Amino acid sequence: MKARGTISGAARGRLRQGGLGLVAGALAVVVGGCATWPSGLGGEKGRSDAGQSALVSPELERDAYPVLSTKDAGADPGERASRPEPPRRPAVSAVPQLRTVYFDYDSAELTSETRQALADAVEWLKRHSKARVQIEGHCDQRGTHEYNLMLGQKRADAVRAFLIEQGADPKRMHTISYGKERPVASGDNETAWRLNRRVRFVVYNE
Amino acid sequence: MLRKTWIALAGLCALLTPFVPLAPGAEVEADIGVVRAQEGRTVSTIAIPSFQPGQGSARQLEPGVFNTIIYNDLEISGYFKQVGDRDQQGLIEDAAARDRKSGVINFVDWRALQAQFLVVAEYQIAGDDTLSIDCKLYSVNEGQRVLGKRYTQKAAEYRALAHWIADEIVQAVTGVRGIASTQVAYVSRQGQNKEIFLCDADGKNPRQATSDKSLDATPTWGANATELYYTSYKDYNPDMCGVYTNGSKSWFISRRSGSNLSPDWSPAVQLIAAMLSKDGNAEIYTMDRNGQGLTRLTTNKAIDGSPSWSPNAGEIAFVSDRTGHPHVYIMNADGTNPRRITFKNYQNVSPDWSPKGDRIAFTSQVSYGDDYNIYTMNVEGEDWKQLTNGGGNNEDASWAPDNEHLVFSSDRTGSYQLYIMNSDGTNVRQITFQGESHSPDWGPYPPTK
Repeated sequence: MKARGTISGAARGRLRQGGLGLVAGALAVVVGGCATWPSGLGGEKGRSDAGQSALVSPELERDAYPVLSTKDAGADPGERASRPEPPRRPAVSAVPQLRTVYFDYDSAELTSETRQALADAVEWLKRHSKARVQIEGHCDQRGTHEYNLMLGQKRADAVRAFLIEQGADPKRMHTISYGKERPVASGDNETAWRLNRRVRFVVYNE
Repeated sequence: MLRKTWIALAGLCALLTPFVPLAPGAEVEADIGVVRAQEGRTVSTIAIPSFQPGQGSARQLEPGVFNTIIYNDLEISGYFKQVGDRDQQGLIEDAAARDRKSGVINFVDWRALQAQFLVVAEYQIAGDDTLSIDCKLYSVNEGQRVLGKRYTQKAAEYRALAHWIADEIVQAVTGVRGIASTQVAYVSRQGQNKEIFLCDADGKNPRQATSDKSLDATPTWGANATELYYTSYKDYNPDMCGVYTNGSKSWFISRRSGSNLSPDWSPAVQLIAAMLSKDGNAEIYTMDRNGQGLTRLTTNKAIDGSPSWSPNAGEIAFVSDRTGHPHVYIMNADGTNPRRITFKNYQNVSPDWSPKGDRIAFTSQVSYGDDYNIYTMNVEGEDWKQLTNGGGNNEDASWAPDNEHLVFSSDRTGSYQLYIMNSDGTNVRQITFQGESHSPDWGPYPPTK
């Protein structure tokens, strides 16, 4: 069982010192519906920073999945250097400055518009030096489930690589591909497809 | 009285044949040579009267339960069809009743009904619910018994027993091992989640193999035909997992950062090939069933994924978009000599190497915006054969172990469902109907009984 929706004493201490306002705010949004947010923990400040556009999917509120043995899970120490371990908990909040970016059909190329949007994301990441983000790659409904999982990963990796190139900290950015499994728009037409071919950002709780 | 004569006769026949099931093929008593050909094959007519409960059976099953399953299995095989139309089964039952009354099989009658083969069977259910079936297959034209055997199984598994009999009928007549006893693993939507399921080759008997309450994807059959490997998001990352088909054990295989996707197991070398993105780019690796012994095979900056082992594990087919769109490639199993083999159509994905090793099934989109369809080609990328045509998207083909059938998913009814067909694209049958099912992987032959 993972600790979720609770705040450790150490975390509260950090929150009091500020600097994690946004993340705390994001957390406040999440726990707000089911727990009392302790007053005086910087929550209000966090809320205004975060802009209150948190997207909390109901599925992310579930109990932890069964945690199985990881001893055979094969992760060599040397491999960790290239990429950080995934946080293994739900990323729960969207942030306006971390804009969703869109792609052409069967493409992971970043358009100039996309690069501008990602420049804003880099700025935000630099200002919020503790925030960890999940970079989610998505695809439209055409093509096999498997290929779209590959393509979504490529889109997320392309965005992550660009952010690193622009100076963002690689250790705080995790990718995940949902292929065509999590569409935001339904419909068998280009309007829906265009909205679904996307990379979106979600922030983890601290 | 006459009935007793019949039973005595049946008993005599049973005595003349081994009670204990032998390896398939061992009990063929007459080489009837009717349907040996695999190409330009002959489709034989078969009559299967309802299996009769024997005297002393502790209980009776619904009439027609066995022959309905076996008829369907035999038609799936592509080598048989039920004699006459479905609504002529009454004539079959009448003829069988006359035979039982007279105590002899009147082959003249069966020839008149245009049956080339006839199955006569009797079942017993013992007090402990053990089901035994004495089953005989006759070549009607020659008036000769081709197969005679007793089959035993728990009564609750009557369906498996019917599949077993169907497979032996196919084997006895064609020499090809039937696939009715094999199973298909696939992804099934369960509310907001997707889980790995198994069903019989006819789509019946669906059962849930995972309870991850998450997004599960890309299942493949693993070691000993008792394990499945797949990708699950249950721990907030697309990790590769293993599970026993009976659900008794599960474990993580690879939890590396990024995607751990599309496992494919080679029984020949006991290794998984899969796509990992831990290095910031989708590459193909091999590893053992615990994720150890990782070897990277591809080094291209494009997507490299969707691996499929050749049967002897000498080569791996895979998908790469290194030319801009995804196409099928082949490389040696050590990663050397990667070469593109599809040069037609807009996208070619999801390769699956045939059990005999001479062909590869894949999913192709002719031009941008077209529906996807199933094709096969030889391993040089030539001799393309289009197996499906229109009606929606037809995707993710997987070979049956007999090399003569494929399972795939299609959204032709509006939701993804599983279909099976002969490897020439004929005999297409929808086998799942509920919810949403996709990404099938046809399992190996079960151990011989």
